[in-house]
Amino acid sequence: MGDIDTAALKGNFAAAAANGGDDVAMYFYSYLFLKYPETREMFPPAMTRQRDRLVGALVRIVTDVDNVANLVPYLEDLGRDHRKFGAVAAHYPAVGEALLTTLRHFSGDSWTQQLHDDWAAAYGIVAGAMVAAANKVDESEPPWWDAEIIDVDRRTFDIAVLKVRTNIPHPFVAGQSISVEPTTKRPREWRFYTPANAPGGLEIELHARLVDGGPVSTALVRSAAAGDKLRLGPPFGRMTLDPQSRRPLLMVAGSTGLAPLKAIIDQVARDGGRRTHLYFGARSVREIYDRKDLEAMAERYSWLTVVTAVSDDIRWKGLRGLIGTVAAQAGPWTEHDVFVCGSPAMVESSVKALVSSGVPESDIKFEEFGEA
Amino acid sequence: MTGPTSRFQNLDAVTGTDLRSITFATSRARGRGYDEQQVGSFVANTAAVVDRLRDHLARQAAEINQLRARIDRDSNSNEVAHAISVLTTAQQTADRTVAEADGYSSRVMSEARDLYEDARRNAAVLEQEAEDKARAVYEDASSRAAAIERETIAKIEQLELTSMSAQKELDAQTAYLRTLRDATRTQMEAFLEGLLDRVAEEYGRAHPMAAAEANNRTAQPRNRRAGRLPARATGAVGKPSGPSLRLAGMQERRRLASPNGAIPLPQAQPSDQAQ
Repeated sequence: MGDIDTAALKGNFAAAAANGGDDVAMYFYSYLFLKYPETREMFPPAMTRQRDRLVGALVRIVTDVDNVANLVPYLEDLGRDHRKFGAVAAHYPAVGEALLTTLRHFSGDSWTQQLHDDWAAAYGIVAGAMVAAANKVDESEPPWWDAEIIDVDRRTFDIAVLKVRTNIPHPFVAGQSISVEPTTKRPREWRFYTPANAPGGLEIELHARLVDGGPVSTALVRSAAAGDKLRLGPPFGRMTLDPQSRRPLLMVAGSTGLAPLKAIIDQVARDGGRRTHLYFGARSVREIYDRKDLEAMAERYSWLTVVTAVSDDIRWKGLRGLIGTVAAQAGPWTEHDVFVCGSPAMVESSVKALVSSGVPESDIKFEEFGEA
Repeated sequence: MTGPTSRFQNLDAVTGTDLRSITFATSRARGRGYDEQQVGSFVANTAAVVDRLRDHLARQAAEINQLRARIDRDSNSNEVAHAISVLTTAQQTADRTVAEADGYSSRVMSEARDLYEDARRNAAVLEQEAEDKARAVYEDASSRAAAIERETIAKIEQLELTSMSAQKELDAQTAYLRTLRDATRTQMEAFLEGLLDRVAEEYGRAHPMAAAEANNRTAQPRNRRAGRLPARATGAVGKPSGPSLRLAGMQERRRLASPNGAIPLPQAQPSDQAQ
């Protein structure tokens, strides 16, 4: 970043953050809402997670402040994504002012004009990248997509399959995730979900698993009803088909990690089919929540093999064990493009099992499902 | 640029004094230039306006600086600090309230999940047990059914055997009875003949003439077949009461001969023949 003293910025940020990241973020938002009350309505009533996110983003930015090549793609995604909150270019100076005021507040006597100028310049670059990215997509896509729930199918007491319809087609690619705001039931709270069908129409299938205490997942699994409004953010994620590759596919899914892989299978089918093995793992028989569709797909597509394994249910008469291990043992998969999706623990153990069975790590694309 | 204003380096910084200090050269073409007095008064007025505007600008700038300084100060002032702390407290209250609600929901859900898991496991165990029991019952029942079948078949076979032996026994008994009948008939014949002889003897002692006649008459029947004897005994004998009395005597004699009432012929027992 040009002639900005990035080391001084890092030092100053570390000193300020030593007061407690949450307190710093609390001061930041209090100042922002005091000075610019109109920004308050872009945020949820409870700000705890929001403060965590802010601190996370600041840490990320400050860490890479001297590595712009790393930072810019992140900032562009961030800027593009912020449009869905209703953030516009006019808000950026307000945030900059709040940020500088906060840093000065926590720096005390160590605050200097030089720090002020360097922070202002650095923030200018960050905001510039975000605004530029936002402006660029402003022409091609809306800040968010309005959608409505048309069907809620509770498959187990904590897994629901939702059918939603957008007002205009959403530009995701099979395997990508989109952030979802349950506008009716839990406004201003967002969480990423992955469509379980390939793009092409207005309808999107979402698989939601309830995370205890998670506001969005609780709203979607327990209280969502047909007719509820949703807002969908832009697509994210790189777990998509390699358009250059014609290699056979191995997919390993744990629980609702099935959704993106189902979407990719849908896409493969539309592209004419390709040898594909899908390994689906659940803890109990009941958690094979999409059995009907899995069986129907295996029936319909001659190129698709679906294998289901259950790890913890004595009633299950089929394959037993962790799905990654079961899949790895059925190998070799060394000629395959591999996709893994599920909980962090499931992804970690599956990737480990596959790599130790000889699959090159570079052939594996994976996505973890976080919490909310 | 030449002329009276060319010495102004910075037109933005021109003051009234600058304007007043300007002197204009008089035109050589007399009578065709501006009125010197009018120009002088215009310059004087303009200079006054410029001075006023400069003043105004300076005051505004000072005010801006003052306000800037105040904003700066205010950011750290007690008032702002107080407002921020009020907002912070309000936010913390909101956060706590929502966190409590989410925490409650989380506890309820995780308890529900535990119950569900327990129920699921128990159900699985119960199902397994029920299946095991059902299998045991089924296996038990089928082995019992098999045993019963085997037993039944054996019984049927035995029954067939038994009926064969029963037939044999029946045949043997029939044969025995036939023998018995024949033997009885022979005995009866002998007895009746003896009886007739005796009757004739007694009768002859009482009426020797009639007896000789009677002996002549009965000499022939002695040679007749035994089967006709009863008819002769009841129908051909002269006095009906005589034979009936003797017949009763005959029965007594039979009883004497065999006190059990059993006829001693033939010797073989039916039970021996059954085996």
